[in-house]
Amino acid sequence: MGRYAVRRSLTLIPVLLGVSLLVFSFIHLIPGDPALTMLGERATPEKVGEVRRQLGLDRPIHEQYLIYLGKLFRGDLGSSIVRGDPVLTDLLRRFPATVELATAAIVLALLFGIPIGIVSAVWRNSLVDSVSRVWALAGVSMPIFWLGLMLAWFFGVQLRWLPTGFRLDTGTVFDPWTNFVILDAALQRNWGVLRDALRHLILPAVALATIPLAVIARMTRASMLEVLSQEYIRTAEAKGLPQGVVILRHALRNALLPVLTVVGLQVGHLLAGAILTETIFSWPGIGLWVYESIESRDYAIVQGASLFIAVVFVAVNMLTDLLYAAVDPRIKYD
Amino acid sequence: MSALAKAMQRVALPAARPGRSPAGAAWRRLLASPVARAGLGIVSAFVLIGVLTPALHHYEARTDADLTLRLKPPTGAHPFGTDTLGRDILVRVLHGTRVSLGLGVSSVAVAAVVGSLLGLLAGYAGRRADLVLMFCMDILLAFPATLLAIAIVAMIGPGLRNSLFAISLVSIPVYARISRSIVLALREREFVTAAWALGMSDWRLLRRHILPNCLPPLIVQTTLAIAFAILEAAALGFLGLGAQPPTPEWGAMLADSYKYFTSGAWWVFFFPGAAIMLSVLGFNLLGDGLRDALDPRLRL
Repeated sequence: MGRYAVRRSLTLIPVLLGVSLLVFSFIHLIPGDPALTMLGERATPEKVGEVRRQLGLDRPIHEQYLIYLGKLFRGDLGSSIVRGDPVLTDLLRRFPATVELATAAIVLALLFGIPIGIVSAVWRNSLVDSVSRVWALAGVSMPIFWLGLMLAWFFGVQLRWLPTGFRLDTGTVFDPWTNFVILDAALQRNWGVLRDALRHLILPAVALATIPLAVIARMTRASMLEVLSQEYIRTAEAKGLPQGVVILRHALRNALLPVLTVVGLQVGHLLAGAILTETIFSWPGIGLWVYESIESRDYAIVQGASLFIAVVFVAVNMLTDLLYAAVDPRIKYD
Repeated sequence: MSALAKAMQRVALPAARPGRSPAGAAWRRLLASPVARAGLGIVSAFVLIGVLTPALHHYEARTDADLTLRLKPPTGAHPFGTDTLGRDILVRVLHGTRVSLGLGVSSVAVAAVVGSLLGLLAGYAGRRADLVLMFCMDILLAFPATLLAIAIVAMIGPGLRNSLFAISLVSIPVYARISRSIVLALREREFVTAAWALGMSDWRLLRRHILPNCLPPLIVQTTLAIAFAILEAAALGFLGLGAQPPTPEWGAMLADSYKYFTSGAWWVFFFPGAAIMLSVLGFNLLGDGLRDALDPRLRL
């Protein structure tokens, strides 16, 4: 296991280098002069030249990449072209909001997706199964920005039950410690703020959870069906064990392994989906920030945030692989 | 019989009648499933709308605006209501079908051809080519697809053609992986060795034996990839990166309207979004049905 973990981690090096190369090349995908595109047509030639130098565009391309890589190792993701702030600082400041949203979404997805998948598999081809399969397929087909709009309109505007934007009501006085508002509010025992934060979280989390929920339900169903058709399940049944024990103790434990991989993959999609969800709900995480940066053509931010999300995605997938190896004793990696 | 025992029963698939072609058998299995029939129905309806609307009705997006009709709720004259510029939403949803579906289908077509060829090449052309090609695919897969598409279009600039490029690019790796894995598996099979031993040329072997065996999984993948591509195109449109106003594209129509949801004008975003969801659902249903009908592992 230890050796496998080391080997698996080593495969990250070429992938991360490749990722950095691709993200680096983003700036060269900009048609024409990137500096001019960023500054707009009315920029003075001096200013354009300054930005070109700042971006290192006056050097040969391989040198540019090495400089870029060197900066990455020092944690320098460049600076915002519009405001001049370092990208990494802003990124880390905004990341907790996205983590909070994504965590809520994945918890919702697991909480509902796994039971739906189990029920669907156990009562295969029943009405429950048909309904949940169509429901899951509808979830996979959902444009989450549309669902978000509908939720915001229905629960926020029509019923006025829930807020439709931001993390807290405007005017709420709160001094967060870590920018994980819910965690901070709980630690500070500020129940009013905690309630307010949770209310703001519900709609975006539901919208963001839709696709992972459906994917997890489908995967759990498929995986349960496969496990349920195996001999050891028949043995367990033949021994006269109660059905609940067979399903939950014998079948589910093995069936959940492939689901684990899917959950790992969904984390990446949650981060990408956050761009759409956060835009709808004015949720001040990295998704909304990317959207705003695209509008203001702040390419350094788009570049830095893409790299950051890709690295998180790659790391989460590696952790899933390791977790998989750790929890499944039948798998030997050497 | 307990529910569990029922669940454990193998699905009895209708056996192929002797003398029927595999394609014919698969087609009949497809039509036997209500889910697949629903998918086929929805997809056919959208394709018909996409093809017939421009042929039957002329629409000039640039001059379409009537501010006296701003944000009118659905009525007999405007069944889907009107948007912030007083444009009939039904007309724009119908005309948007060609744009949204066209973008989805054409980007997948490009990805399917390029990706499958890369996969064939990787599986067939030796270890070095394989390593390099698959490494490139791994890099593309290291990004969540939606993010990569958004980032690329953000860089190269918004528009339909650039969206097509980005969506194709992020759809390529799956094709490459599928066709490569099939080629690698087939290379070990006796009938391929036999054909090779009989002196069949590489090209002929590829065309006669490898490619036909790649088709079923690639067809399934294509249907599901179109569903994904329509969603992706809509997401780009929604972020203002895809089709530019006043082009009637479903995602862009949502982008036009989403700032008005507080005014309670639900129809402005309900109908374009419903069109996205329904068309994506259609392709997903069809893809699921096709997988059941074509998956060789289920052919008992």
